[in-house]
Amino acid sequence: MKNKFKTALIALIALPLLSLFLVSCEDDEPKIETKIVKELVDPTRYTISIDMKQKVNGNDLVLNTANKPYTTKNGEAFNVTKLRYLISDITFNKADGSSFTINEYHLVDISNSTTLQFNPTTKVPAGEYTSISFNFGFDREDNITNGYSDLTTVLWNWPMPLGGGYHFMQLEGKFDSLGTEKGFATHMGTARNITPTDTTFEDNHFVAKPIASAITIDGEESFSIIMNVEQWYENPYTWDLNKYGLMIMPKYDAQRKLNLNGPSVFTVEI
Amino acid sequence: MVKSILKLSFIILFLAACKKEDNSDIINEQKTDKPITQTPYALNLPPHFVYIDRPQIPIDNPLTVEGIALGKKLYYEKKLSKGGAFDGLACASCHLQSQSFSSNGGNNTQVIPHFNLAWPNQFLWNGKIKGTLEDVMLFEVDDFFQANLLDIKSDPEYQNMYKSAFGNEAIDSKHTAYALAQFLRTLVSGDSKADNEIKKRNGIAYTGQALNAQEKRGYELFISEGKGDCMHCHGIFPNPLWTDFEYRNNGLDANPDSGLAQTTRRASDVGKFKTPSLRNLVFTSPYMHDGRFQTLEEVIDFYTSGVRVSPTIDPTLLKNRNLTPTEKLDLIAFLKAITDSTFVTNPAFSE
Repeated sequence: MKNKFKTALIALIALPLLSLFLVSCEDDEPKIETKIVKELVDPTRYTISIDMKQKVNGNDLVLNTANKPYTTKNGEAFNVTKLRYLISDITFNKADGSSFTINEYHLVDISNSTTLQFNPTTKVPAGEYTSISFNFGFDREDNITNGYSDLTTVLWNWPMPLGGGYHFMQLEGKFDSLGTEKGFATHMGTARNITPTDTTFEDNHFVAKPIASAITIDGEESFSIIMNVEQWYENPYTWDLNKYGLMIMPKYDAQRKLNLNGPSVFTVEI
Repeated sequence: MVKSILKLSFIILFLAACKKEDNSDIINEQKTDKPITQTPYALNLPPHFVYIDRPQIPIDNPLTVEGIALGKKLYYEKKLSKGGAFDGLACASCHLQSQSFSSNGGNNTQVIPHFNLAWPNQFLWNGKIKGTLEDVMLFEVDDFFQANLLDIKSDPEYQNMYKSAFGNEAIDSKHTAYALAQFLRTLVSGDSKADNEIKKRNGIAYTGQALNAQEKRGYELFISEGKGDCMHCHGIFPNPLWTDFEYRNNGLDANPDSGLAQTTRRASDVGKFKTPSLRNLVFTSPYMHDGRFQTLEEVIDFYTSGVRVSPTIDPTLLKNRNLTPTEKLDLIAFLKAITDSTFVTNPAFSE
């Protein structure tokens, strides 16, 4: 450890010295060096980094608890054994109505800590933004069946009989129902609507516009997008896990209710 | 001390920065030995594997023709186990190609089949090894097999093969593991009726048959959350791997074996075992980590009516999978359609 520190220290001091010597050996003015510095630090666009956080009833979500520490508005005690979800097209909105969208997606799997930070490759123009918004899941344009090999590898596809494309969320756990333990799997994706005359597949993504998300980009910036898990089951529809526990993917009602409850699920911390 | 090193580096940097002509000697000095060049080998994946990510290959162990040839010879080498826990056995003694490089190991252990191992990053039924194939092979060589390299080191043929594969590196556990990892990475299985169905549905040319009507019905049950719901753990078109490589308690016992908890020491991991691929099931009976089920019929009956509840059971197992007798037959027909018969006879993988 000490040696490593020493090497790092030497490198830290020696590197600028090296550049000095390189410069001193050259006869011409150090034009090249100036150019490199300019490319590295573009004063008009900045890297952003987003922490993906999850809370339940105001506390940080803990996976796989032995007890059931959380409660739905409907009164069921529950725990969480799995949570994966996809967000895309993070957008920075200005007061004049213009906006900048990062055309990228990110899959969060809370059992895999490396997915809890989203570092988009797209840089964001400097400026004052009045709000941040994003798509939960993919919009119709982006929800391309078999279109993303990284998502297909981790079994994120939404079945073709239900409209294809990809899952938006897999929230799983167990809850107590009149003294019996039951499972729930709140999976969200395209909503299949079967009517007596027709079967249609409805785009089921929503645009999350968390309140108090104004942000000024004038340097590398980081912020947090927080999923408040219990909110999936609260507003405006009070969700009953006994009714919509397992096997809700083909249930049109359940899919649309998730879409209605979704917008109040997210908050942002700048 | 730091000051003197700094001064020295200062001088070296100065020399390096301004002297340009005098380094020809150094280059010549480094190349006294005749260079050994390996032949790069491109992993040949079936065309429909384009729908999943290409496997990551560690930068320090690229696939080479020579490395793979050495790995294959070692895989079938009985001398490797001399005096160890598995004296007289080779890897291939329990991983039989005719059984998709698997077998029943007795003592309630089912030997994990070896195919499509380039994708997972956690290995063994209890998840003991996280990392790359190199990591798990090093564990096999050093700990599990307690490989004996004395006979290998003194064998002129092996001396040549190690040299061809790894240059002047030592004949040691690391390079033995690296060669085995290279061979295992080439064991790609992707030729079955189900694979043809993926190609067919995506406009990729194929030879042979795709799914018939019964197998297609079986696939629909497989991906239906209200019926088989196999897909959330075992996959869905066009993923050809038929597992997500995760660890789960699938409800085998009311008091399950420790499983993944043996590795993590976490109570929440008790009873969790590696989710196996459903490819080549025809060759890999009996089933489950302990080989308790002899037939696929028994497996399906277990999932429909035999699940036992325990604290860590996966919540998606807490439901009745209502399958009629006909539906069970359809589902099994689909499972059997993920059979790659060319894989178990491919001479590239044989001794």
